[in-house]
Amino acid sequence: MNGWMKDHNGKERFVLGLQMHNSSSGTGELMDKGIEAVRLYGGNTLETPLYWYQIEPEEGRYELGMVETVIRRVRDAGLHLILLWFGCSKNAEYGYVPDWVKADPSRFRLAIGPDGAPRVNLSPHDDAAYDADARCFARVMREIRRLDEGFGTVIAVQVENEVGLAMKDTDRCYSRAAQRDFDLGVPQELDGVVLEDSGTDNRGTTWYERFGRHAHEAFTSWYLARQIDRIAAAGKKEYDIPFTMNTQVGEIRQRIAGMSYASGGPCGRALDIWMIAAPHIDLFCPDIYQQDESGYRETCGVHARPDNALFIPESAPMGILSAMNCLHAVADYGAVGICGFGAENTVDFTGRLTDAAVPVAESYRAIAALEPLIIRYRGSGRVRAVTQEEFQPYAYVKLPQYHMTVHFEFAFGGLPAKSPPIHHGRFTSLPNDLGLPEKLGEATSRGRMLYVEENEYEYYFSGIGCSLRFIRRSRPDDPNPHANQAVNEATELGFLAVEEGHFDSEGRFQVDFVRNGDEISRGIAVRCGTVVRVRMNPESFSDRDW
Amino acid sequence: MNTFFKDKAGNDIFVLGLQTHNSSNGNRELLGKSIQAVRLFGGNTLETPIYWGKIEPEEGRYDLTSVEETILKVREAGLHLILLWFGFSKNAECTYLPEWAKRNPGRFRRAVAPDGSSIAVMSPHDDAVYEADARCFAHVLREIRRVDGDTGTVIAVQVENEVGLGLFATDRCYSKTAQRIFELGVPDELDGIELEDTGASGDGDSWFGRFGRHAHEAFTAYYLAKQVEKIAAAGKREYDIPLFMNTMVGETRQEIAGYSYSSGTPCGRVLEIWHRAAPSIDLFCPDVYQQHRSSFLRTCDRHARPWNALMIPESGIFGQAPAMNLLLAAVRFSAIGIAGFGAESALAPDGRLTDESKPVAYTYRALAMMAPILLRHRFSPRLFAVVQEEGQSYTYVQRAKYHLTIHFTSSPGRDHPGARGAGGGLRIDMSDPENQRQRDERGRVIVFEANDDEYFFSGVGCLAMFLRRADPLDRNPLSGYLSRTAGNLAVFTIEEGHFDDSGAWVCEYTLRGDELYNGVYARPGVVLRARLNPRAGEVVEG
Repeated sequence: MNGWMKDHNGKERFVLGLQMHNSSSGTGELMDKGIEAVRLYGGNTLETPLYWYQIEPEEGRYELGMVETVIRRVRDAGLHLILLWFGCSKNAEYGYVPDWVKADPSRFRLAIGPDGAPRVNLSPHDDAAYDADARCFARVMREIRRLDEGFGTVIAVQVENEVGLAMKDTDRCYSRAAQRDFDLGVPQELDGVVLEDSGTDNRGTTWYERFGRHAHEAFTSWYLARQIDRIAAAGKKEYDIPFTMNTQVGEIRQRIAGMSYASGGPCGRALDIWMIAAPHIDLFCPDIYQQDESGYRETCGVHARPDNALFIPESAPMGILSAMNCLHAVADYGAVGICGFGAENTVDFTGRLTDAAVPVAESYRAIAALEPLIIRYRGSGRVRAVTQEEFQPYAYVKLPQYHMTVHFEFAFGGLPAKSPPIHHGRFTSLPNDLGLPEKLGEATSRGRMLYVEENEYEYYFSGIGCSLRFIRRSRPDDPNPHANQAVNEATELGFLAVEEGHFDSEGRFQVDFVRNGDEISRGIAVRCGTVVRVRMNPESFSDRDW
Repeated sequence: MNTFFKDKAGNDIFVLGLQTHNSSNGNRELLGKSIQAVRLFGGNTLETPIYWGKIEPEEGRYDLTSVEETILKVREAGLHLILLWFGFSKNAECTYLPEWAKRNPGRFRRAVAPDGSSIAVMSPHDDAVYEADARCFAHVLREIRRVDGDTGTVIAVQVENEVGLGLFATDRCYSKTAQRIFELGVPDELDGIELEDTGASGDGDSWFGRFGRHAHEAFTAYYLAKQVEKIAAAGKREYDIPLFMNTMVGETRQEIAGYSYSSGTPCGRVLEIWHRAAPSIDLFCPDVYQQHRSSFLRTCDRHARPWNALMIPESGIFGQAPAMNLLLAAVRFSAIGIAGFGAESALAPDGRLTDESKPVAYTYRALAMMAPILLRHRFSPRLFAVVQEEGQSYTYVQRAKYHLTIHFTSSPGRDHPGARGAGGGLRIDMSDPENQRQRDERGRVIVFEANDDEYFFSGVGCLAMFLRRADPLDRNPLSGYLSRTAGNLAVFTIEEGHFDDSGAWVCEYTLRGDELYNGVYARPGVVLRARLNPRAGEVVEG
C-alpha cells in the first residue's frame, strides 16, 4: 500500500507515536507511562504488543482479556493504537511462542543450521507452527473486531516482529524437508524477480542459478513469506484492517543475510519476493536505528517505493541525530508514519521527558503541527526539511522567488553561533507561552525544520533553532539587481505578513499571533510548538519606474 | 591544467603546504616559524606573498631583495615555494597597491558603485593600473628566473589574490566608461558559454539577453579576466612556470555575486569565462573555508574540471572539520595540492603544534605518506577515502573479493569487537595521551587497493576489517563466512612501513598472530599494507 492510515471517520492520519517495550503490554502502570510519553511527544499513536503465549496458554484455550485491556486504555487516552502480534517470531527468534509449542519440537519444527543443530526459529518448511499461529491470530482479530469495529481505535496490526532466521546462526533451514523444497527450484511466481549483485546471470530454475549468492536468502524469504501470508490471510478474514510487518533492516554491516541480519525477513533486498508471496501484508516497514544520516537515508530509500509507503514502526526516540533524520523521512521519503521504540524510557520518575528524549519530541511536534499539509502535499515535493549539518552555520535554499537562508541560532555543540546573524533576545518580543511541556522548545537545540510551499509566495514552517532570512530574487532582466537586492524592500520587510498559528481539526490554519516590527526585522524565528506562515508580497518591486 | 606540479627534475609533486599570514613575508622570524609549521605538518611547500607596494615603492624603481631572500630561505629549508603576487587585488580590495598608485585615482581608476560612489577596488574597465601591475609582475618573474631558474624552488606563482569587486559594495563597475562597454554586448569570444539558472533566453548579444540575472557578474568576470590575462602573459614571457589564481568561493550565502561574494572572481559559476579570457592562467583554485562537508564538497566539485585540477591554496587548519574535508578533497576529487592558511598560528609558543592544529596535521601526514600512490594512481577507482560521518560507528565498502568494514575508533560503538582492540595486541600504549588522542580522532583513511588481495591504508581513528566474499555458487556460504579463515586471519601479514622517494614500499614491521585479530588500525605516521590470502575460506573437497 502507498497511502495514509485512516481513523474511524476515514480521516487520513500521519501516524506519530511510540512503541512500548517488548514485554510491557498489559501492565496498566507501564501502559499509562507509555501513553503519557506519546502525549509529551505530541504524538497520536501507541504501539504495543500482544503475546501468543499469554493469549493461548493451552492449545485451543484463548484468554483474550489483554486485548480488551489494551484497547480500552488507549481509547480512553484518545490515541490511536497499533497492536503488534508477537506470535511465532520476535526478532528472528521464537521467544513469545506458547510453552506448549516450545515443548513439542517434533510437532513444531525448528530450523536446522548447516551444522545439523536446531536454531531458535520455527522452520519455514513445516506448516504446523504457522497453522497454530494463524488460528490464534484469527481469534485475536475477531476479538479486535468485536471490541473496536465501532470505534476504530486500532488503526493497524503488525503481523509478527522482525521475522527471519536468527542472525549469525543460519542463512536457511538445512533440514531434509528444507532440502527437498530447495531442490524443487524457484517457483514460477518469482519469474522476473532479479536481485542485485547476485553474481549470476539470473537465468535457470535452481535457486543458485537464479539468485547466486543470495540464493539461500531468497529461498528462505519465499517460504517464510508464504507461511506468514497464511497467518495474515486468516486474520484478515476476521477483520480487514491494514497489516504491517516490521523488518530487521538489511542495509547493515556487510549486508550478508544470516550474518549481518536475519535471513528471510522482508528487508530491502528481498522486498520484491515478499510483495509477491505475502499479498495480505499491506506494508513492509523498516525498524531504522541507524544514526548516521546516510545509513538512515539508505534504508528509507529502499523501502519507500511506489508499491510500499515508508512507515517506520521503530526508531531511536532519543538523541539529536534521530531528531534530524525523522524530518528527512517525512520530507524526502514521504513517510506515512514514524514511531520511536521504548516509550517508557523517555519519561523520568517525575513524569517529565528525559533530556535525551527532548530533541526527538521537538521534531515530532513539528511533524504534528504540519500534519494536515504533510498529508495534503505528500509526494508533491512541496514538503521539505532543513537540518543543521555538523559544523554548519547556515543553509541556503533557492526558492522560486526568494533566496532563503536558514541561520542556525546555535553553532555546533549548543554554543551560541560565533556571530549569530540574528538575535531574538530569547524571543522576548514574541509571546512565550506556547503550552509546551517543560524542557521543550529551548532555542539551544540543533537547527531543524520542515517547511511547506503553499505557493511561490506563501510558506509554512515548523521546527526549532532556525532563523529565516529572505531576499527576493532579481528578475533576469533587472537592470539594477545589486541595488534592488540590497534594499530592505527585497527582504522580509517587504512581506505582507508573518503569522504564528496552528491547524485546527479541519486542517484550516488559525492565526494566533501576527508578527511584525522587531519580530521580523532581524529574521524570522522558527520555534517549537507553533507554525509560522510567511506570506510574501508578489508585487514588491513592481511599478518602481516613475 | 590538469596535471601535478613538477620539480626541476620533472618529478610530479603533490603539493602539501601552508600559507603564511598576509603580511608576514619579509619578517625572517615569522617565515622561520612558518617553515617549522610546514615541517611539523609533514608538508613540502610554503606559500607566501610578495607585495607590489614593497617591490615598487616608487614607480619604475624596483626593490627585488624580498624575492631573493624568500626563495633562498625556503630553498635552504628544503621546501617547495609558491609565491603569491599581491598586486592590484587582495581579497577584492586594493590594499597592497603602492602608495603612488593609491594617490592617483585620476590615473588609476576605481570601480564605481550603483549609487555613484567609488569603492576600494580597481575598475576592470580602465587599463592603467593593470599595465603598471604587469610591468612590475614581469620584473618579479624575471627575478625569480634569475634566482631560481636552475634550481626550481619556486614551483608556481599565484597571480593576485581573490580578485573581484568588493563584497556588498557592487556587482559591477557603473562608471560611464563601464556603461559604454556594457552596451557593446557580449563579445564573440564567449560564444557557446552558458551559465546555469540565468532565467534568460540565452539569445541575442546583450549581456542581459545572454546571461540574465548573472549578466553583471559575467560582464565583470570577462573584463577582469582580460586585464589579469595581461599581467599573467607579461610574467609568463619572462619565466614560464605555472601561474594560478585563487578565488573567493561563490558557493556561499545566497550565491549572489557582489552580495554573497565578490563579483567577477573566477568562482564556479563563471569559471569557463575566465578559462576562455585568461589563457595564461593555468589553474583556478578555490579558497575553501567551508566547515560543513556538503558545502565543502560542492565547492570542490565545481572546480575539479577536466581542464582544471583541484588545488586548494587556502583552507582551515584547525579542528576536525577541515581535517576530514581535506582528506576527502584530496582523494575523491583527485586534488593536486592542498594548503592551509595561517602557518604561524599552528605553532604554540614552545614551537610545537597546538592541539587545535593536530587534526589537520594528522591528515597531512596521511596524505604525505600516501603521496607516491596519489601521484601514480590519480583517478584510479582503486584509490578511495573513507571519512566518518556524524553518528557513524563503521562504514561498509564492497570490493571485488572482500567485504571491507571500517570501524571508527572514536565512535560510541567502540565496544565493537574490532574497534575495542584499537591498541590491544598492537604494541600501542593506550595509556599514552597522544595515542588516546589519535584513537579519539574522527575516523578518516586513504585506502589503496593495489590488487584484489592487497591493500594500503593511511589515516587516523580507523580500524579496517576484512571478510572474504562468498562465491556466488558456494553451497554453504554462511559457514564460510563464519569461518575464521574468511576473516582477518585470512591475511598473510599486515605490514607497517612507508614508501621511499622512488615510491618503493619499505616494510618496517610485520604483524602476525594477536596483532591480526584487530584488523588494520590506521594511525598517523605509518602506512599499513594488508596482504590477503587469495585462497582464504576456500573449501577444498576431499
